[in-house]
Amino acid sequence: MHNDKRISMEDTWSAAELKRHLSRKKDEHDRKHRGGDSTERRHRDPDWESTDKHGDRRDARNWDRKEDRERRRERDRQDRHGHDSREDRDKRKDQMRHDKDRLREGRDEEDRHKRREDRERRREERDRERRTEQDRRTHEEREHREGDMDLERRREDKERRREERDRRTHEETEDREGDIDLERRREDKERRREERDRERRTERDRRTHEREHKEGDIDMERRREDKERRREERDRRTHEEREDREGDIDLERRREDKERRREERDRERRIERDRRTHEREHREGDMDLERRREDKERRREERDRERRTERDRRTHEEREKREGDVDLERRREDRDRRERQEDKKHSRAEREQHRKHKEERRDETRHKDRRHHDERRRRDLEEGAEAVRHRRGDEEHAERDRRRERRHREDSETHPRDGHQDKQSPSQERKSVKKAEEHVMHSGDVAAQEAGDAEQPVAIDESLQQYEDDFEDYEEDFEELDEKDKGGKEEEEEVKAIQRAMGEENQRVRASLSSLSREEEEKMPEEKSSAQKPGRSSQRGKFMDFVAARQREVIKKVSSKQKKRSAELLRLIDLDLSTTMSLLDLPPVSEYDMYIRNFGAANTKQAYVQCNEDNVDRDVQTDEIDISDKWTQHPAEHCGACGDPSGSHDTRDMSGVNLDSRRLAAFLRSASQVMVVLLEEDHAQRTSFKGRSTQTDTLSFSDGSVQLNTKLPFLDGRTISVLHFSPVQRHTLLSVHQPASSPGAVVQLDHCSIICIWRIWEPSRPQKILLVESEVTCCCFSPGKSTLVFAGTSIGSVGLWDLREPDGDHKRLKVGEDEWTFRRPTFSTDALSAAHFSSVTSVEVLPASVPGRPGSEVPLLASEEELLGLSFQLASLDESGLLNIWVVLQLPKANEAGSQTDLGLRPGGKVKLLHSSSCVMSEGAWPWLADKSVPLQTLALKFLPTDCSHFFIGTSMGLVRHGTTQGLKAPPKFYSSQDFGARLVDVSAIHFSPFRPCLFLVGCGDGSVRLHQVSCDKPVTEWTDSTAGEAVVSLQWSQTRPAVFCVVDAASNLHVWDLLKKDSGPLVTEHMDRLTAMAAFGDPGQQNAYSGIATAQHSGKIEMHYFTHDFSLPSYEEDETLERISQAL
Amino acid sequence: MEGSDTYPIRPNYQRKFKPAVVKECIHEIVKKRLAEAEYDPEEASELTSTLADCIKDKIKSLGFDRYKLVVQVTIGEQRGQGVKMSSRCLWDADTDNYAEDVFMNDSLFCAVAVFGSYFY
Repeated sequence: MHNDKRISMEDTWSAAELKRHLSRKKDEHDRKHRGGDSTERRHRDPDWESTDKHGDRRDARNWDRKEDRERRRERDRQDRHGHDSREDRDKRKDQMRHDKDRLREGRDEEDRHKRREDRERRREERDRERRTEQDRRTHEEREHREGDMDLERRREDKERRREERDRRTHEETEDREGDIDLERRREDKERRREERDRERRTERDRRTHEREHKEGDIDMERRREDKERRREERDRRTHEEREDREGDIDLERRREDKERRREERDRERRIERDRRTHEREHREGDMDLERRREDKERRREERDRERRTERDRRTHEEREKREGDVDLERRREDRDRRERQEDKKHSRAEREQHRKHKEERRDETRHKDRRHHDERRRRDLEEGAEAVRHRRGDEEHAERDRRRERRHREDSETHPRDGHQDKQSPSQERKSVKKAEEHVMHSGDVAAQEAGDAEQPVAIDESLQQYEDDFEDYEEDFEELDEKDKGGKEEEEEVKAIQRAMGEENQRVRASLSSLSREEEEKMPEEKSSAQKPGRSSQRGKFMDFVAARQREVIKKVSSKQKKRSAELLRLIDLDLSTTMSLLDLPPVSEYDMYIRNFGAANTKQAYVQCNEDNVDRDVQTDEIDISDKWTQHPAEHCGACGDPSGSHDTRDMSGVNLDSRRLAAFLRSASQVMVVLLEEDHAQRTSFKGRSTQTDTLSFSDGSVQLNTKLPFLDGRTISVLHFSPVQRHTLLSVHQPASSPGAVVQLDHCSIICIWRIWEPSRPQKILLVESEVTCCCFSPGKSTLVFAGTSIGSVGLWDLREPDGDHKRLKVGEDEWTFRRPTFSTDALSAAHFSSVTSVEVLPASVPGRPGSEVPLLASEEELLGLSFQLASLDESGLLNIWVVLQLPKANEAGSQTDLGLRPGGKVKLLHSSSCVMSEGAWPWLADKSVPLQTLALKFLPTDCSHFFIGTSMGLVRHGTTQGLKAPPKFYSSQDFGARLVDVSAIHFSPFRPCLFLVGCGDGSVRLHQVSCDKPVTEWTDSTAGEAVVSLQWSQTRPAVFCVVDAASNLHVWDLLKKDSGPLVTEHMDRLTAMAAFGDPGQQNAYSGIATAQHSGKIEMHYFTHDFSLPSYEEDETLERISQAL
Repeated sequence: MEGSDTYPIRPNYQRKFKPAVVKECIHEIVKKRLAEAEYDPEEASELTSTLADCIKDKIKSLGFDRYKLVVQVTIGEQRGQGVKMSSRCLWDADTDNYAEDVFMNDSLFCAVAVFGSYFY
């Protein structure tokens, strides 16, 4: 036999063969890949045709491979030397393809034989397997039972178990009943197939004819369609159940179906062939069938195993998940326990009940089906006895499917086939052993079933169920037959399309029926643990079938009512879609707000603000108001019409005051003089008393003396040549200091004479200091106020000083600590042509020609001055006898730049001398001098105080010439001594008496003093020996007493004459220390008259001696005495 | 029209759902219940349901006959996030209405919406 041989061949592959086989396999793989079909894709391919084809091809390939191998081996054997087994790849491929095609047909025939064999064998094995299955399943039971259980009971258990199993498998699927039917039908089919095989073996021809006949039958057709539909449904269910995981399985199963169909087709073909060569192939067909059955058995075994494990898993899950459903759970547990522990009696009763329930429900739910299949059922009733056995076959059928599936899976995993075969071969043997037993059991089963039916009160239900199952099986049987009858693929496809349509229809119907009752279950349709669903639904179905129906009715009624209501209402009202209503719109809080909310208020408080708010700067933009008190006076007589009481003189308005600065200066000058004099007088009076007290001892006539301060640095070492008092201002004294013989303190002044003007009341310092370049021989004051000083010098010039000039105009020298102003002459006659050419011996101011008494001079002088101003005449006499008369002119305006015409005038000076006339005393007038060759010298000049035209000149001949300025002749021309006419003796001094202007004293160089009267040429009195022959240096009448006069001789003796007391000689003669000059002073007009003499010593000391009252106070008889003396002449 | 049924398709005015009244009612309850409340994720769900029940009972007592009430209470933690809630209804605007109120304190916000739908 081929099969045996092949198996044996496969079992005993040589190494080389294996290698070849593997390489070829690899080639096949490559080819597959080149085709672009991966196994995965092929598995998932929705097109069943293609997948089936692939599967076919693969199966065929498997077959091919075996046979090819065989053939190749044979071929190799045949042309081992001629051909190389590995000639050319393409060639071989082509050949292989060719072989394949060729072989497929051959294989079909082989298959047919094989399958027949298989079928027989499989039946045997199935029985055997069933027993082993039972054994295995009831392993525990059997252990307890110890094999003493009778067959019937065992069969019953088996049945029951199978029922449960069936139920569970049905529950797995959504469409429970359909599944069960399917299963059952499949079982039936199996069984029927077995029977058929058996029949076929015995009376094959008849059956084939019958089948052909039946093909035309519509009933048969419908049945077949039903079967197809159910199969599809199952496929769909399995597809749904095992969505992802079992997708492959689904596919596989479909392929299985396909395969099965193909097998059937093969079978059909085989049958046809059988018809043709039924005799010949009888045995082969048997074998084929047998073999197929074996295969089936094997597959069923595997499937069974698989399903059991599946079931276990499901129950496990169920247990875990559905703890709440205690009742159900317990029941199932009980069931399990029953299965395992073989609690026989109890379980049987319950199981019977279960079955009853199930059947009831099935009745209810499948009334339609029943109706449809009444006819069939009736027919099935006849075969009812076999139902139980068929039912068992159902299980096996499922198992077969599973096994096939697994085998496919193994194939896809390229499981080594030989290993698989090795495994299978012992099981086949075992199955064949079991087969015999199974036959026995089958018979036993039938008996038991019948007995059970009799026992059960609701046996009819069960039988109905069985009938139904049987019917299904029957149907399947027909279907199988139909399929066998089918000619080719086209027909198959057509059938499939119809089946699909039918399945959908069926599904719809079933869904509408079962939807209400299964609503609760369908709430969780996607649950993968499909075991759960069947278990629960089966239980519920059993308890709530009627209630559910009633409910359904009620619900239907209510819903229809509501439907109507809603329909009516919707017509009345309008529904509209409201605008979107914003329930809450909370904008996101900004980061800062968030911070403030979280930390701003937490644990903190705002204590201070740093905005500098309180730092306010106050400022006012208006000026402060000044407040002051003011007063006003209504008639604004005063310049200051207003003022304030606080005495702020600054604010007083001074604009109204007109200042006459000149007047003020004059006022201040005079006032200051007065003040100074007053102060000096005070001082002098105080000191004079002391001085008197000290000086009285030395001088008999003196009542005291005042010493002028001549101890000045620039006066040091100078001898005083002249002392002169102003005739008007009797307290003004000038002293002429000769140029220094030895160098003094101020060198530049050494060659100059200095004239100091003193006030006797200010002995401390000289008032003014006048500076003359040459030796001053004589000087005099201006009449009136002593504002002008004239001086004649030894060089023949006459100088003039205006004492009114301010100090600032003159040169100031700092001598020692003090500053002194040295005044230069305002006017000098040096530049005048009419000036003297010999030493000027005397300068005299021509007295104003106003007759008046000397006593009333003072008031007259003021008026005089005012009348005349400063215009008066000055006469100067030099030694040559030239007498010049000058007019003193005061310029109205000073010229600071100096005068161009008046060359002697210093710049800024206002007083000048204008030469008016001159006369020479020497010519013609001197008769006595003609015979004398000695030149006449004119030594002194005096003017008659009452008539300024008469002048008296003392000469060196002891004579005094009397002359007039107009040239008029005056009676005595000469005044001579008593005894002698002219003799050579100098007239050194002439002095008119201040009280009697017609009397004058003449002092001579021989020491004689003569008193002359103007009208007589002979003297009144002549004192020849009064000075003891010493020359008279100075002779002065007293200013207060007319009878007193003082004579200083060259031997520094001072003789004082008082004609009242002694007219023969001097009354007092006092010897003084080297007297150089002497001047008498005194004011006769005043009550507090004083008089005295000022003496200058050689050392330069000036002392002022005040006469005692005897010499100063005049007495009445003095005038008489003088009268008498003058009368005496 | 074979059906002679009559339907009250409009409520009595006195019985009509009045948003202002309801809103006041919501406000009162929420304020009372949540014034011192702190957000607690554990309790929030419990709180919302109790609040909703409370509000529902209160509104029921207002006597809106034939009204079906839907009370929606949302409590969320307030952490500065932005929240936007809105709703849309397909209803008969003549009879149906809604009232909403929002309550907020430092830690949570609570939005309550009550929809009254008339049952014809």
